[in-house]
Amino acid sequence: MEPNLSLALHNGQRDYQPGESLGGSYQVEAASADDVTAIEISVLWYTEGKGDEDLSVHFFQRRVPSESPERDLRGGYSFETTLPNSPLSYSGVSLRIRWSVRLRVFLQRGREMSLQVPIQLGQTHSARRVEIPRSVGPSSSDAPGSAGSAGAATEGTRRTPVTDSF
Amino acid sequence: MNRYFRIWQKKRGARRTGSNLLGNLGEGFFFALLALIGVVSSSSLVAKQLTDPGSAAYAPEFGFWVMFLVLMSFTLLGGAGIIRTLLQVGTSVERRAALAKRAANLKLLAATQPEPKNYPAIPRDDDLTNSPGIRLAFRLPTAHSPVWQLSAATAFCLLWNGMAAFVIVVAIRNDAWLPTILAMAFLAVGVWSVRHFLEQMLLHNGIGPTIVEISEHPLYPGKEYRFFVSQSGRLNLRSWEVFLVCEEEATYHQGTDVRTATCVVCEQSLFRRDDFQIDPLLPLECESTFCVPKQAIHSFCSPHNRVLWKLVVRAEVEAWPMLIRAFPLVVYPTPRPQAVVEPALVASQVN
Amino acid sequence: MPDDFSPESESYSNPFSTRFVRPGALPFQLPGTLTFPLLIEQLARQNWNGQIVGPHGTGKSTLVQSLIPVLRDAGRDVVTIVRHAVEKEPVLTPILSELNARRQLVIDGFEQYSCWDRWRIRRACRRAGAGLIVSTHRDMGLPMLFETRIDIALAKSIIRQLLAGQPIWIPDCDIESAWARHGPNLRETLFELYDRMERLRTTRD
Repeated sequence: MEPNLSLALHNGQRDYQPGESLGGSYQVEAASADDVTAIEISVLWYTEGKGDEDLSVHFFQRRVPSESPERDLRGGYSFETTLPNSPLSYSGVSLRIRWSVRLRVFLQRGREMSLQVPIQLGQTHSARRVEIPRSVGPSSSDAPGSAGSAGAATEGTRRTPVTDSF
Repeated sequence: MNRYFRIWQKKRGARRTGSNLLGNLGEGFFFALLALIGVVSSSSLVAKQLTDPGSAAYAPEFGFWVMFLVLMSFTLLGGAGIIRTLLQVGTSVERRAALAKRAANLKLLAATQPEPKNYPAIPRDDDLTNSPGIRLAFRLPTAHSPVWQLSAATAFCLLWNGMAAFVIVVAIRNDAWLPTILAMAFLAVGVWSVRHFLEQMLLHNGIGPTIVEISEHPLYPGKEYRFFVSQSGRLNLRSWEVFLVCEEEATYHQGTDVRTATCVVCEQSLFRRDDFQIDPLLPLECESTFCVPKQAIHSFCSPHNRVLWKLVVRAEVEAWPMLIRAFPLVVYPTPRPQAVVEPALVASQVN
Repeated sequence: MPDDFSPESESYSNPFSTRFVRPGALPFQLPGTLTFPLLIEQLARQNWNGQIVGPHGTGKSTLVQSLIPVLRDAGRDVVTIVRHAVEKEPVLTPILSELNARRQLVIDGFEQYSCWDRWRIRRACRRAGAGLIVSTHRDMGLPMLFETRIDIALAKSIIRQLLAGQPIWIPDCDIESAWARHGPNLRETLFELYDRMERLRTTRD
């Protein structure tokens, strides 16, 4: 029988603010105590999009049978951590920043199972690509990779030396 | 005439009575001449040794190496002098004085900035806050300094044309076709390098430096800030515009290729002026306010992905390619009153 | 001032994100009746030496990643090196000094090495009796293991797999026009479709 994993956050909450406490409980049910060799619970953020994935673990805890008096990892556990100030969850165009709570269980013969609950840290608006109108000529940039060209100049304006500041 | 070409000048404290511009030009000419002498002479010395090793005058002994080192030092001193001269053209006396005056306050300012460790994955802003402004609190550095491009163009132009001069002399003396072909190739690249160097120099001096200052740093979404931009140079501009820009940058390795994709997700025009001239003595200045959009994403930096905020100045200049200069900013998440620095780890077993 | 940030509606994953299309995320589709065990048999006949050749974005790295677990199942001790054009290369000497007859050196991006290093690697593998599999854009003189190429039919099949279960559908004409611009480079095609997906999502929202 395949082990059964469950992961629940306090009050079913999914939206959090920086500095807020994130807690919950997780449970591993298996036919035999020897089935489960290790359990890991982590709170992490990762990126998703066009770029290679980046990942950073904010909270991590690993349990092995030797830590338990009965050498049995089956059962329920709780965890709690305080979320950091950054990075906030973000839905962009080339890049998304996602937070999640991940439960990973290691089994005999190299098998493993995982369960993930996404959460939202902070409140940022999702972004849309800004289409930049192209100008007529080529650009010379002191900053390679910067945004494209500006809009077209207005026509028919008299040239005046600039002396004002505001 | 006498006013511009004085033989004697008077020193009054730290001031001179002559023209700074003429002084810089003279200084630049001197260093350029020094560098050229060094390059041509050292190239000739080495080439002569290679083509006529039996010559007693150029035997690879102690004297040869001393001469080579002396000539190379001419090249290095001359090149460094040119770069230093060009840098000084863009720096005002007031700027240097303001830096000296406010240096003592930097430690106090730094103490009020959020510690980077409280904000994981947010780029450090030390480089943005260690330079005080004249009009507002902080002067922003450019994302990519044009000085390095100018330095590289200068060094390459001097070295290459020195070698080209020698190759041309050898080709003239030699009747064979190979030196002639080599000389033509060297000459073609040399002409390009001179043109590129002049372009960079005109770009650096003609367009002039762009100065951007802001009232506070770091920035937070939803808050308003003052900014000041000054553009100097001798320019006929079709348009000149300042933007607040947010850009996503994603780097990906797929197979063995490495690429970076950028995408602008926010662009707010803060100031625009069309069809005007900038006089060398009257730089264009503007001072206004901008607001980081509420609930906008903060600056972000991870190994392969970034969110970059910057102030961008774009200028359409007559007879020039469009100029874009970017000044990075760091936007922090809106601070929470109960924000805690270190995560608390609590776990217990529930039976 | 214009506000380019709009309220977030739901969690969404672009099916062409790197995590779904990177080498190893997509299984390599071998053509016809060719299977991975057959490929391993061919490799064994070639003294565990072979090269995977193909243009940019045709799945060489994906095939390398797919081969690694199969090689391990076949009893080979696999050591992998991925060479990126702009990154500092890993130090070779300790790797080459530990080669033996069971070891299988797999190098993704073999042509990024200098001639001298390529000669060193081949000589070290030959002397130790170790196997060498390389991916490369051009013939490196090793026995041919597989030549990667993608046609429009295969590209569409892969793209439809990625789009399975997505609420947004990309029509065939969009796929064909992206392929026309970038083919046979599937990687660049998928990145263009990433942008296309983002624009469709924006329009839908």
